[in-house]
Amino acid sequence: MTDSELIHGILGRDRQAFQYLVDKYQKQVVKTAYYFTGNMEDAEDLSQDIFLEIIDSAASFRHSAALSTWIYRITVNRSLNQVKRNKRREIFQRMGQMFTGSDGGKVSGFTATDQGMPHEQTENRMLLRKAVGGLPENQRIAFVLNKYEELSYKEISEVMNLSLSSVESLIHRARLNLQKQLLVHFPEYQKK
Amino acid sequence: MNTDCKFIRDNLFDIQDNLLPEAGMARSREHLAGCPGCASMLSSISSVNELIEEEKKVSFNPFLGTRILLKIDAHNAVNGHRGMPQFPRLLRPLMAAALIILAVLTGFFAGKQGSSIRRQTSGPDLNIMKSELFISELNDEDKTIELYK
Repeated sequence: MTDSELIHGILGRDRQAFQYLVDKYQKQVVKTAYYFTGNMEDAEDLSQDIFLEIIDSAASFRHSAALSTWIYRITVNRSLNQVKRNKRREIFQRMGQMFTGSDGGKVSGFTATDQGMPHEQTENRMLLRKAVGGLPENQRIAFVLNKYEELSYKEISEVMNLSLSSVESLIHRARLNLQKQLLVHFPEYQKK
Repeated sequence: MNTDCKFIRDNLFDIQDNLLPEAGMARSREHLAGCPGCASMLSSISSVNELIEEEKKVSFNPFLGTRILLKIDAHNAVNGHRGMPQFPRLLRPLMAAALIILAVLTGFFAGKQGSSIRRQTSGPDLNIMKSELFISELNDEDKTIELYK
């Protein structure tokens, strides 16, 4: 099924088209959402809303870009909004803890997927998430799409609506920022 | 830190991923062989890359697709997409404004109609009606009296 056939099916509320859409793109959507939120539960909930948005706004899809590019764009926007919501919730939780003196229980960035791993690996994973999460928004999007989703610079430029040179620059700056933040935590660096 | 060290440290990810042009890769290989500091940094970056590879292996709920499809079905059932007209996003505020104007105009005309009815049923007209009723009752009484005579 081509992109335009799929969009045509979605607009016609064809259940087979929905099934095809979900089968083809669920992995892309849920994994991208996970890379941004760092939490699989959030990513799975988010992916349901993302598919509803894809279906509701299928009429506004311009065939100038690939469908996967458009889906990436929706996924990234939704995921970043979720991250902002989580940050706000965390601030309120901390304020609540300050007043009640209780421990909220949930440590940011630590999820069920980390359990059963060696402590050091879990710690390094959290450091990496924190460092990636601390990047400026555009650098984070470009870095995640390039490094985790393995998109080419051209694909990233289409997702982000930027020029190729801007994407190159964003990724380069993201890498330098990550190096600065991460290298001090790694033993190889400390040996120096 | 000499210029070669700076070059290596500015391009650690690219060196690790073998993305530099051949001349740059040759320059970095040569430098790394003689600079343990840069070599250890490159090794750290390789640890970061391993972590990223681990992150990519994350698995998700195998029934997620079914959950998404159920949610789509529920969404379509609630919104009744098949029968309901779909207004483009730009038209929605216009539709809302038109509905508000319609409601105000309906209220205005209904109020005007009500006041004209009130005017008809009040004032001298009502007094005339009352007096006519009173006279007709008097006439009926006269008839009754005549019957008993």
